[in-house]
Amino acid sequence: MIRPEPVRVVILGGGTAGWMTAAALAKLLPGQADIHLVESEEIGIVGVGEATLPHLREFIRRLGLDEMDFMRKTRATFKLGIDFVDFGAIGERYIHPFGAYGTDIAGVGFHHYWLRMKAAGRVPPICDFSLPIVASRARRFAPIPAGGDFLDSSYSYAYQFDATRMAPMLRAFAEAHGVRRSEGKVVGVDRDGTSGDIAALRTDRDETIAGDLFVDCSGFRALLIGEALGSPWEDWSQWLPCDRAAALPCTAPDGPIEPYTRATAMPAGWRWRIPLQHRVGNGYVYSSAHLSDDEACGAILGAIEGEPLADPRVLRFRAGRRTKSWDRNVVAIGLASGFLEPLESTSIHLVQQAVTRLVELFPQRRIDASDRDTFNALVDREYDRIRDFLILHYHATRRDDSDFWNHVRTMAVPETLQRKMDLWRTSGRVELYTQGLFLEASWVAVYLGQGVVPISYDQRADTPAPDRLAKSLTELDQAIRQRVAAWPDHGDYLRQAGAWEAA
Amino acid sequence: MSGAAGVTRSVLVVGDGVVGLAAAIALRRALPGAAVRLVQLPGDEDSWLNRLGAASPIIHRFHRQIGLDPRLFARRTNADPAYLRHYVRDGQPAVREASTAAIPFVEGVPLHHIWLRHRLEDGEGAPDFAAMLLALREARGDEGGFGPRFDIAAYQGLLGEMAAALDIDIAAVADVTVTADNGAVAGLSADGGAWLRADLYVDAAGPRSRLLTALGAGWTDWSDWLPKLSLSMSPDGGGAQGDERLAYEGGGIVWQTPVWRAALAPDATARGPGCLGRCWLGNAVAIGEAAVRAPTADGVGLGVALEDILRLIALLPRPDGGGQEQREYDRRAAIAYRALADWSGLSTAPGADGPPGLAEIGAAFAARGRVAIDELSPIQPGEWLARLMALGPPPRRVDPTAWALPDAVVRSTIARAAPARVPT
Repeated sequence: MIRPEPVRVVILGGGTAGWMTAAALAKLLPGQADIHLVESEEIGIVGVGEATLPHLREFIRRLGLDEMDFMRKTRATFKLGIDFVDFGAIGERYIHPFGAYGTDIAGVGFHHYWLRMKAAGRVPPICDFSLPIVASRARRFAPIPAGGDFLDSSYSYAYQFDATRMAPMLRAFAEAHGVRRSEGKVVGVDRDGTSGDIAALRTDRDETIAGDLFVDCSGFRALLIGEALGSPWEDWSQWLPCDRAAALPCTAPDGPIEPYTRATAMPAGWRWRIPLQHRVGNGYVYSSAHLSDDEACGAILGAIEGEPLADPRVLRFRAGRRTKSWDRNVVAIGLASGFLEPLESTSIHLVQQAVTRLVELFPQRRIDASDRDTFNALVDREYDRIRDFLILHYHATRRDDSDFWNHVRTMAVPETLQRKMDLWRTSGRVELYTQGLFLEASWVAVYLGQGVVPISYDQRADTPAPDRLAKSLTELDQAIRQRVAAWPDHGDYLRQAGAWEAA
Repeated sequence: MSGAAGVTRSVLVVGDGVVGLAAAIALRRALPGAAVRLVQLPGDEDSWLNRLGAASPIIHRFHRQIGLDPRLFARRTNADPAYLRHYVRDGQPAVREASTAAIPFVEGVPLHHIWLRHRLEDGEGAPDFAAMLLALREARGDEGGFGPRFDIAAYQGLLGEMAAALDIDIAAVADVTVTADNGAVAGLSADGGAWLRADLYVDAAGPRSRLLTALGAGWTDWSDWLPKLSLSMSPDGGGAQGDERLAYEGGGIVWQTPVWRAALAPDATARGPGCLGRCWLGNAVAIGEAAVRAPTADGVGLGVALEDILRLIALLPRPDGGGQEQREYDRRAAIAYRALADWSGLSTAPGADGPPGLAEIGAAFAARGRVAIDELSPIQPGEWLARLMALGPPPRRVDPTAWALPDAVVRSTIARAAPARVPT
């Protein structure tokens, strides 16, 4: 037979990562992957990742899910970016938008022209030249029209949703696509005597589940990749010292709903505020070396803008990743693979990325080492690039009001980040790469938003006559304002489009 | 913004071949306030780029950037857009190659895996992979292809006219000597006399270049990986429009296009392939064959040189900058040159070991049809795919996503290529 035998895939863990993996493999590899997921209802899911990135839309599209149905089921709102408050210095804020600032002129990035005008002292803040930022501030939203103009293609969007509602939705989808599910806790792991690979999982219900490929979605416990295989962990806490979060939902206020997530810097970390349809998610991400759990819970209770809907829950984690996310015949996806704090809403994206790579490199029953090596190289690169981008948020600060901020401001950063910052500081240029999450516009947003103004800019930006340049910037500013003024209110649009779940 | 005071007021380009002229024009456009001067040197017989009228599709983007009308280019240089290559190798059936920039996907599955699955299931009755790509080209009206083949002397003449119209000052000299000072060029002396100085020196002098070596840049030799070939050109073009034919004979290649014929022959005395260790030192940057040399039997050699110019302009530093742009330039150039070496190995000596990077690319492709190239490679993934399908060993595995496709999708995808079948 030419057609290869289906690979028996066993997924351990039914949280967001587990069911995302099951749904994608079932949809994209019918007949090629025979999928069995084991989970225990007694084990809660972390459900971190209420805010997402635009890439999630592609995941939903590839699965063939209806966007509005997805939004209703997860009580989702739209997201155009993240509002960073007090990061560069107390009292300063900026939005990291899903989109660009202005448009290139004669092949030169817009921010170079803006830097030129700023040096001449005649330009409004750069955020005025970003459609998604202006729309965020106005709490408006509109979908991206097909065949639109340059402004329509200057933004993207994601969702803010109730992560605990995503897994059940994907479970229904996956089971409808042939995924088998077993209830039970894993109490034993059988290894192949010759190869040392994992051969089967045994559960507390006396079930033995054999497989060719095991996907460890057991979260921080990392039962397979960590406990069974002992795959090493690379610790990044010297750069990303936050290791806990005190999470707390509260009631949603009346009035407009922000189409963005807010991240507010705190004395020992930062706190998130994520507006959903039915509530607001809050959490204080902090460094336990600088703040006690009780202090963190007190701080988040004091900071919320609504009635608390539960007691604060403390989550523990550490920044880093496995040196090999795919080891032997075990692929770790989600928190078992690594963790980066949710400052840029990357948790679900990292799951999605790993699932996509696994589909691309899906093995045969006998695993080829080159598939594994390629997967690990791609996952590592993604993690490493996000890591540098997150560290920048802490390091690029003038804050000196707490031990925490003094530490991150003065710490040595990875060489890969230092090089990027040096290039920016001297020339206003961003190190080029094309694969990865955060490309030029994102780096520009954080650099400028946190007060890292380069000493120079692309000299080609000096070419247009000052008055002509000022005029085109004014026109762009006006075009953005007019466009946003014509957009509906975000909350109104959610209802209008059928994304709203009637409570 | 103190650094903003430093402005490049003068540029000196050494070498008036196509790369030097193209660079001078592009710099003139980018820096309308700067004086751009070109030093004309006697012709260099070792240069391929000044004799081989072939470019990859990047030339279209380059022409847009410098404002050269594509119709004028085509008319003046008798350009023929190549989109189908025929390879003839000793004792093997002819193989066709067509090309796209990106790897085509159907329903999320790479096109070549659909084709590979069909070939396994239906045997030899399938159209060749080139037919699949040609069908796409017809459906999309894709310019794509391999880039133009043209009369290089006419192109050089056209660029020369453009340079003159743009007030680029051209000084003809027999030779220049470099005076270095503290890791930078202090000036060039022309014919032992006149002193030429500039804020930025662009070394486009081709294989004989020594501007960067005068500053201490080392040369990495690739002779162990790539063949030493000499190039001879004859004007007797032939064959159908858009077609070219490459015959591999005795370690060399005869390459016939509608515009000219080229013979690439093994030659131990030919200047060997390799690249500079650093391409930008202080105020001097080497581009084109001054920075990298590898034999190619297509337009990628000139394509990579034009990418050098675009990269140089994108990263143009201020004279008083801290050298960060130069480092970024070198990082990107090194990636481009490694890609060129791998590509050269694949195309001029298929089957040989070639550079280490090519071995990795070849292994990844042979294993499961993955095109594992650097994200900043100037040679696009679709171009790699087409060449690997034409010259490399075919993948051993069909991707599982292709096996997962419904039969009807595979059938309709293959059927789209059937009308484009052309007897070879």
